[in-house]
Formats: sequence, structure tokens, C-alpha cells
Amino acid sequence: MNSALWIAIAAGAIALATPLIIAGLGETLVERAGRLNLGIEGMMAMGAFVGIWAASAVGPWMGLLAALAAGVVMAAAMNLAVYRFGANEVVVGLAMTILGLGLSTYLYLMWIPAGEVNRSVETLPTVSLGPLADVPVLGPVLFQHDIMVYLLVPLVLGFWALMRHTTVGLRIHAVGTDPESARLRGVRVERVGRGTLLAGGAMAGLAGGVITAGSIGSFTPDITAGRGYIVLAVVIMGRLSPLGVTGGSLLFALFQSFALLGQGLGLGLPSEVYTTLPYVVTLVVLVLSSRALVRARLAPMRA
Amino acid sequence: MVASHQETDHVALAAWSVSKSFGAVQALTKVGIDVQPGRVHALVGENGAGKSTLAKILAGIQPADSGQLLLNDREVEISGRAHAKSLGINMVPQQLSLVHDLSLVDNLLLASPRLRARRSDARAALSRTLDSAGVQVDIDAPTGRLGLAHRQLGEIVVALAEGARLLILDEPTASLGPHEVGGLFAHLRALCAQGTAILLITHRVDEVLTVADDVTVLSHGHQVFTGPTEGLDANRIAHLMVGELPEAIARAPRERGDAVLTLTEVDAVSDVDSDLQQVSLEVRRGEIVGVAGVAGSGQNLLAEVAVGIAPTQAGEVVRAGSTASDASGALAAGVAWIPDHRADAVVPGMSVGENLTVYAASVDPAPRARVRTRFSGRRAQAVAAQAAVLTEYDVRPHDPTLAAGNLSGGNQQKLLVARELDAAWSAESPASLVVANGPTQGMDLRASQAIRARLVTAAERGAGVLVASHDLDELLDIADRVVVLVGGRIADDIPADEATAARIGRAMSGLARAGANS
Ligand SMILES: Nc1ncnc2c1ncn2[C@@H]1O[C@H](COP(=O)(O)OP(=O)(O)OP(=O)(O)O)[C@@H](O)[C@H]1O
Ligand SMILES: [Mg+2]
Repeated sequence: MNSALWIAIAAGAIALATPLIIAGLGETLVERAGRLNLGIEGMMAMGAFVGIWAASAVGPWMGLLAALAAGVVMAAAMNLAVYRFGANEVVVGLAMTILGLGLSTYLYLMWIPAGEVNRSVETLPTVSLGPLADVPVLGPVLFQHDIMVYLLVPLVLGFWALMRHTTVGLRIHAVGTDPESARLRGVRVERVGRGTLLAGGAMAGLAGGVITAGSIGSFTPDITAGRGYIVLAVVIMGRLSPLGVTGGSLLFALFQSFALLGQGLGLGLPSEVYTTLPYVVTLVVLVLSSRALVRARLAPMRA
Repeated sequence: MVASHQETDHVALAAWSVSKSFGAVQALTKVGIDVQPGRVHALVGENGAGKSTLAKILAGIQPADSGQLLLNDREVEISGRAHAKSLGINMVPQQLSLVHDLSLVDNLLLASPRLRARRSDARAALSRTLDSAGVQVDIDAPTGRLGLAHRQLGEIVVALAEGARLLILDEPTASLGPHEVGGLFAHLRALCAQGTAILLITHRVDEVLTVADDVTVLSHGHQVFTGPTEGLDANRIAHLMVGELPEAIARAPRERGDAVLTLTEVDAVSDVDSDLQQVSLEVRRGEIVGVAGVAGSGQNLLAEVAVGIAPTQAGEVVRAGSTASDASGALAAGVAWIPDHRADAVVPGMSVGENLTVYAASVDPAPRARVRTRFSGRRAQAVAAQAAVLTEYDVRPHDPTLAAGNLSGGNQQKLLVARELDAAWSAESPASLVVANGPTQGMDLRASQAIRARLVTAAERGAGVLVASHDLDELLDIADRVVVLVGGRIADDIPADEATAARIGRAMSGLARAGANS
């Protein structure tokens, strides 16, 4: 009885982690290039709405594509403000978050006026991976998800390879750590900065679409519920590495899944404990891991 | 490759009537230069003459205000560094451009048009270049962890491996000695023989004499000479570079005082330099001790131990009577510190005046008070005092409000020396110890002679001077004794009257008698 619940918690964690990982991968690129996208929350919200809206007309896959495009458009607007008009990146990022949350709610209310029944759309199908899905415990936890979850594996590996084994990854790293030298070596610093933000926006939009068109099948205002900020924390926790971000996202999602389902375990804890737990854990891990990071940074200076 | 393509494989780049100004500073006035395939063209002139400015225009790093560039006799507009590279123009800038976080291998791959980072190919290309140039550098360590000489060599090797039909080298050997330079120039000549065009900026007469076919001289942004080097002798070239040279420094006997720096059997470790092993050394007031060694023999670490920046593993360091090892304590004790990498000590974004007075922010009250008395009072007075220091040390332009990063390379070096020697001295407390690592790198002949004279003056005023240099003539010129480091040990300690370049060179390569210092 309890073990079934634990399995549900673990399986739920993987589903919950998916959008975090997707947006987090994009943000690792952005931060590697020495930039910061505080608009992730807004981009996810817009992606969530645009995704479901497009999915209702042309199906879930096109919905995801539309969500991705919505993120790119917002990132392009951010680039324009920062590079063309010299605006501050932090301020513009926060503005994007406010804009995305507000605009997605407004558009939703235009689509489905208050009082009408919300629209539900068909989502990505759940795919059981044949015999693997029947393995006890591991089967239901790992191998009975929608396609997006399986696509995460090549996606994470792809980002890892991009950073480690391509000249694009080297350029992003160079621009983030030593832009002046990079420029002298012939790297187009601004182009790298713009490009990574577009990629980050695309991934944030996609992450929003994955929440709605990918798994829930409907939109409600504020559906992202602060996950865009969690992504920022997870990226630092994962030390700007694709694998680290994946681990961090899974950790947060595990506690969140526990918060959602764990009350059924009958541990007799007040419900506030469950809901705050993921955030507290994230905060603690963040402090511990950034301490390690600061140490690692300082070590060569001490030598 | 088709034959017609072969012909355009060679690149001739000419600049015609190029002018460039930075605000009120006119860096170049209607300058021309013609770099031909298969020839080495030397570009010389005093510090601040405009050499780097011209080089950066040719390499697409900055645009000219007016004038034309001609590539194989056709006018070109070079839009940026990447564009210049695609035209076959590569450059080793004076302010090095290796990304510190990345190894030489990754720096080489950085601007490659391929998507995949083929590290094994890059590594092979670098090893081949290192071999044919006869030099050695660690190609897998992050370049920020290499010593300055190796970083400079690495930068050259990466440029060579990237390949270029026109190669611009802005003072490529400023921090290198004869051992490090190795077969580099022979390699450059070989490239030339295959048709590469080379523009070489240098302050060294011997480099002009031995490798250059043509020479162009700039002075205050004007082109004052251009022609083949054939028929020019060393004196004529030196004269073209800086005009009349001041007389050689007179060697007067100096009085020796008590020891200001004593190292007793010191061990220290470093991940970028040889570990120091059992180093014992004494510097007395009024004495100038030179330190020689092949790059990476421990001279950087020795200098850092001497000023108290690097921790020691064993042994004792007594600095101006104190064993405390901290930089602010050293500052208070009147230690002047000129590190080999000026980028570590000159803040490019701060003004020249602020760079002179950064010590005013030091926690220790003593140097602060000293700086305050010197530069205190109203702003105008402070600026006047700073301008006076700049004039005294000939930092050009003598304008304290300019950003230090906008000074020419040699003038940044002068600024660093001016700050250290000036702040460490005031009437109340003369500098007790001067530790200078490559104090004259990047300076023209006249400026470096002036700085050597100042080090001698420092000793005359009672300071102990420890000076490391890869320029053996510099050491022979001013040092009372020369200690030679080999692999972090003192291999020889040669008094001035026995010191010759040959003897020091032999000791540097480890051929001295074993146990010479015990
Ligand atoms: N970015 C800049 N802003 C303002 N002034 C500049 C800038 N770059 C160069 N200058 C000025 O232009 C003049 C020429 O500088 P440049 O660096 O070309 O000299 P240089 O001949 O290379 O000297 P050095 O031998 O010291 O390297 C100097 O007076 C310098 O102060
Ligand atoms: Mg220069």
C-alpha cells in the first residue's frame, strides 16, 4: 500500500522535473555566457498559454513548437532592450516575468471568458516502454511516461556534448569568463550573448508548453507557480552543468512530489511542512553547493 | 587547389595615409606601411608612438578614422577580428588575448569555423608548431595558470597554428629571454620563405637586425622612416627608434647597510612555477641583487616570497626586520613591488591618477598616511601632484584623469614602476626593499635605461633591490651580484666582476658547478 504510494511519488517527481530540466538547460547556456535571464517565469507562463492554445487547434506537438516560439519572441525582445537600448538586464528580465504572467492571464481570459468552462486538450500520449515498463518498481517509475520525458535523455546529453565537445560551447565559456580576450581572438561576443539568450528563451517557452500541452492538458492563470525562479536556483545548484541541473531539478521535484502525495502516508505532519519542504531543501542545498563553488573559485587565488 | 587560387594565397597588406585619434590624443597622423609577402617588416618607435594602434587597425580590432587599407592592391574595409582572420590576417596583441579559463588547445579551437571541437587535431597541430619552433609550453593547462613567459609563447604558438598569410606580432618577446625565444625567429623566417608576410613590433635592436627585411619608424604618431634594413647598423637603428640615447649608467661603489631581506633555507610550492628548494639569499641595503633563470625556474615564486604574497613551506623570511608574511605589512614596511605581469597590478578601468593612489585604500594606516600627505589637499592639488609624478617618470600623456587601460603598453609599465618607486619613497620613510620582476618589459631603449638608473638611485638612497629579469644585459648593467635559479634551486651566485652573459647563460642551463651555493 505504502510502496505503491512511494512509487507514485517517484514517478511524479520525474514528471514534475521535466519542465525544470528543460528550462534549466537553456539557462545554463545563458549563465555560462555571463548573462542572466530573470524572465524565465514569464516566458514559461507565456509558453504555457500559447502551447495550450495552439494545441487546441493543431495538436500537442504543434503546441509545443508554438510555446517554444513564444519564448524566442520574448527573448528577442529582451535582447533588443539590452543590446539596442542599453537597458539593464536584471530590470528587463523582471519586466519580462511580470509581462509574461500578466499577458498570459489576459489572453486566457479573452479566449475563455470568466464563467465559461475551461478547455481541456489532448496531451502527449503516455508511452510504456514495452517489457521495461513491467519491471517492478523501476518500470512504473522510469518507463511509463509521456514521450517528452524520454526525449530528456538525448536533450541533456546533447547539451552536455554542446558544452564539452563543440566550438560553440567553447565560445560560450570564453565569452562568459573573459569577453575581452574572446573578442581579440575573433569571437563575436555580442552574437554569442544574443544567441544564448534566444536559446534560453526557447527552452523556457518549451518548458511552459510541456506543463500544459505536454502533461496537464489545460491552462489556468499562474500555472507556473514560481517554477521559473526555482529554475534559477537549480541552475546555480547544478553549477551551470547540464548534468548538475538535471540532478538538482530531480531533487526539487522529488520533494515537491512528496509534498503533493506524501500526506497520504499518514506521517501526521502538518500540511505546511509538506508544502515548504521542497523550498527549504532547495535553499539548503543551494547554500551548501554555492559555498563549495566559492571555495573552488577562491582556491587558485590562494595558491 | 587551382593555380589562380595559389596566386592569391599570398597577402600583401598596405595602409595608406591612416589617421586615428582618441579624444584629444592624436595617435596616428597620415601613416603608411606596406607589408609584403615573404618579408619581415619591423615597426619600431618609442613608447606611445602609435605602433599598437596601427597594428590593431590592420588586424581589424579597431577602425581608422581616415585612410585606406589595401589588400593585394585592392581597397578593403576590415569589419572586425573575425573578418580579418578570414582574410588571412592574424595577430598576437601586446595585451595578450588567451582566454585564461581555457587551455591552449581550447584557445586554438575557439575561433575555428568547425562545430566539433577536434581536440586531438588541435593538440597535434600545436605540438607540431612547438616542435618546429623549438619551444615548450604546457598545452593542456588553463592558460591563466601559466607563467607570463609561457603565456606569451603560447599566444604566439596558437597564432602560428591557426595559420596566417599575414602575421602581426606586437612585441611578441617582451617577456621572453634568449632561452625561451629558442628557434622562434628561425621558424618565423621559415614561414616567410614560404610566403607569409610578417609585421613585427619590437623594442629590441638585435631582433630588427637579425630578422627584419624592412623597417618603419613611428614617432609621435608620424611616420619618420621607412626602408630596407640592409645597410643599417645597430647604432643607426637604435637612433631611429628613440633618438639620442642617454649615457650608460655609471657604476659607483655604494655603501652596504644591514640586511633588508633574508631568506633562510626557504621551501615554497607553486603550481605555475618551479618549487623553491632550500633557497637562502640575503639582500643588504645599498645592494642590487639580480635574479636570472630560464622561464619557470622559480624566479616568479622567489619574488612573491620576497614580498610576502606567496606562503612558504619551510624556512624563514625576514623582511625589513619582520617575519610577518602579508602584503599589507610589506607595504607598511616600505616594500616596492613590481610584478612581472603588469595586468596584475595596473587596473585598466581606473584612471592613471587612481592607479597611483590605490594604496590609499590599504587597511594599514602607515602607507595610507604617507600617500595622504603626498596627494592630500584639494583635488586640484592632488591632480597636480600626480601629474608631477607622471612627468618625472615620463608616463605619456601626463594626464592623471585618463583611463590607465588607454595608455600604450610601455607607458602602463612606466605607470606601474612610477607608483611603486614613488609611493614607497618619501622623505620620512625611504623604501627599504624594492622587488622588481621584469621591470622594463615593453619599454623602449631610453625608458628602460631611465628605469635602470632609478633602481640604482634606489640603492644609493639605501634600499635593497632584488631584480629578476630575462634580459641578461639589464642584470649585467646594474646588479652587484647575480643569483641564477635552476629548477627552484640557487645554482650559482656570481659577483658583478665575474659576471658575463656567457657565464650566466651557462649557469642558467644547469652547467654550473653543482652545489655552488653551499
Ligand atoms: N583606447 C585608447 N584610448 C585613448 N588613447 C589611446 C587608446 N589607445 C591608444 N591610445 C593612445 O594612443 C597613443 C599610441 O598608443 P600605442 O598603444 O599605439 O603606442 P605604442 O607605440 O604601441 O607604444 P608601446 O611601445 O608603449 O606599446 C598613446 O598616446 C596612447 O595613450
Ligand atoms: Mg604597443
